[in-house]
Amino acid sequence: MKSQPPAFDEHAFDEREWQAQERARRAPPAAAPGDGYALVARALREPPLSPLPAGFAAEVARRAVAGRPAAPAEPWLERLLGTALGLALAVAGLITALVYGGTWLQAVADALPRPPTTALPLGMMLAVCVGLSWLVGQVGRPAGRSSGRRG
Amino acid sequence: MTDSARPIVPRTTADAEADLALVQAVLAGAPGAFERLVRQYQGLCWHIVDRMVRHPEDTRELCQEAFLRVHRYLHQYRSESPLKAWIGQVAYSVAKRHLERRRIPLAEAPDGGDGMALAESVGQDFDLEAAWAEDEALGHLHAAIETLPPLQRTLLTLYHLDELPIGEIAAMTGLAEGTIKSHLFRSRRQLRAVLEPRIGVVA
Repeated sequence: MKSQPPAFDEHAFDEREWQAQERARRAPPAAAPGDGYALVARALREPPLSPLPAGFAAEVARRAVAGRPAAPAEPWLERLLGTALGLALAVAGLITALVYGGTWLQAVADALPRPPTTALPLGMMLAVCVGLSWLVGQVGRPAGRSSGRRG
Repeated sequence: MTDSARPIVPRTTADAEADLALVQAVLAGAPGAFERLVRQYQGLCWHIVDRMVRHPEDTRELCQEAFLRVHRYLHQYRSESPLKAWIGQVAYSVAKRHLERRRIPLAEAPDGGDGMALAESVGQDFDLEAAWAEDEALGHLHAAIETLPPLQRTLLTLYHLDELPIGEIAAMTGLAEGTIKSHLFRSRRQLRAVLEPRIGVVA
């Protein structure tokens, strides 16, 4: 919203006048009847407010209780129900896999394209390269892994 | 500037314990605890909202909304600050959001700030020299208070009627203490200016 309150303006502030305002605020209502700030202070002590409705607190309390969400179930009960549901799902999944697994595997194998004849040698070469790299890394590593961290 | 305003009164241990006991009773669902809380702080909430929105029906709705929010989020209350300040903050933010929704400026003064436009807006037919009476002057001052922007009205009410220290008002409104002092100073000067053309008062 554009109406941000203006920040404190030191130049527009008159300390002596502020003190006069504060004296009027602290003074009893009947004091200095002719003083402008005394009247202002009195008017501010008795502002025209609309009256608080009778039974307001009881009404609000009733509404608050009516709108309160139901208490959550006990944690142990939630955990038990969650575990039971998980087990039921796992058992159902296992039975389904046993009954239909073979058919699904066959269908997947049929759906996949057959690998080209060059794919096997290339795969083997790649595996050999990875293995050799790992072996070289092992040889170059210090013998005692934990000894290097000591001290 | 020296701070002649009331210092922030440190909360006593008894106050803090009373706040905490009330909050715990409400959270535990003790019968009548929330109603007791509302009864204790309904005056403050009403003052804040009424000064901000100046509409009895809206004030009632918004005060209810504020306390329902208090009830819903009371578990988030941390006892470092007084419960009064926390509830006042909720009431202020509910009323402020209401004004924002209705695009009512919160703090824009209707005039340049010298108080003359405020004095003029109160009524030209009021001749204090001819028939001075304190009650009439108060009536005109009340009319002038009503023409102040919502923020200034609320700050004046919290400071003068509820007698809250500036520090607590700052905690409720999120404004800097210097900003609040500036608002109080300028608003009171504007209000006095309502009387000046008639009686030439000097503070």
